[in-house]
Amino acid sequence: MAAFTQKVVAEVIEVQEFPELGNAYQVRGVPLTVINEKYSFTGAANEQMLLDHVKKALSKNLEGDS
Amino acid sequence: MQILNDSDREIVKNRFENELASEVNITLFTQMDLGGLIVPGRECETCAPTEQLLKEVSEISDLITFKKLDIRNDAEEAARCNVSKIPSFLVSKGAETNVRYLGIPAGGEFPVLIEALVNVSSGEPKISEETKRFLDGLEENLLIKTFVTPN
Repeated sequence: MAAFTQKVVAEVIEVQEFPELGNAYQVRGVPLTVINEKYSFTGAANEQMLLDHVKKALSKNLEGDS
Repeated sequence: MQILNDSDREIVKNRFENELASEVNITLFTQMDLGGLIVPGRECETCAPTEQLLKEVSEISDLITFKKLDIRNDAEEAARCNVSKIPSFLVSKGAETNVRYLGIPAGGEFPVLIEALVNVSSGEPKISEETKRFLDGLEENLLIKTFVTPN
């Protein structure tokens, strides 16, 4: 998605190297994806699943599963 | 010693030959070699192997430019790129800073590096028309962070 538009920032964090970030985001399992610092989900997601999560994250007052 | 073995290199070379469409940059933020000195608070176990891995990958194709910056000496550029940890690197065509990786892309994460290079280079990621339409219509920026482990 980030290769398609600069409106999307994609960041991958190797959590073993940065345990302080893992703690800050309460990473309990990987992969953990956090969208706009407020919505998160654990587990691999294909494109359609990621798109669904993104849409949920952008809609108001919805929390992720973690 | 090389990190990539010959068969990995051959596979990556094939992909790059077929899929790299234009020049693409890898910009690594690290710290300058302290000449074997161990300075408390400045340990960086993965800085050297990350640099070596990225260099090896960039040497596979003439379309890839590898650039190394120092998190302290190049603090202004680090701030522009939203980088505060080392090792971190960006994959970009130009000055954009929206594809970032913190840590070493080793093991199971190695393909992420290759995909990032191919996708950024082409600007035409293999995503569906539905996703493209959604992204075209985005009114706010999206920050997607994914936490991973190498295996």
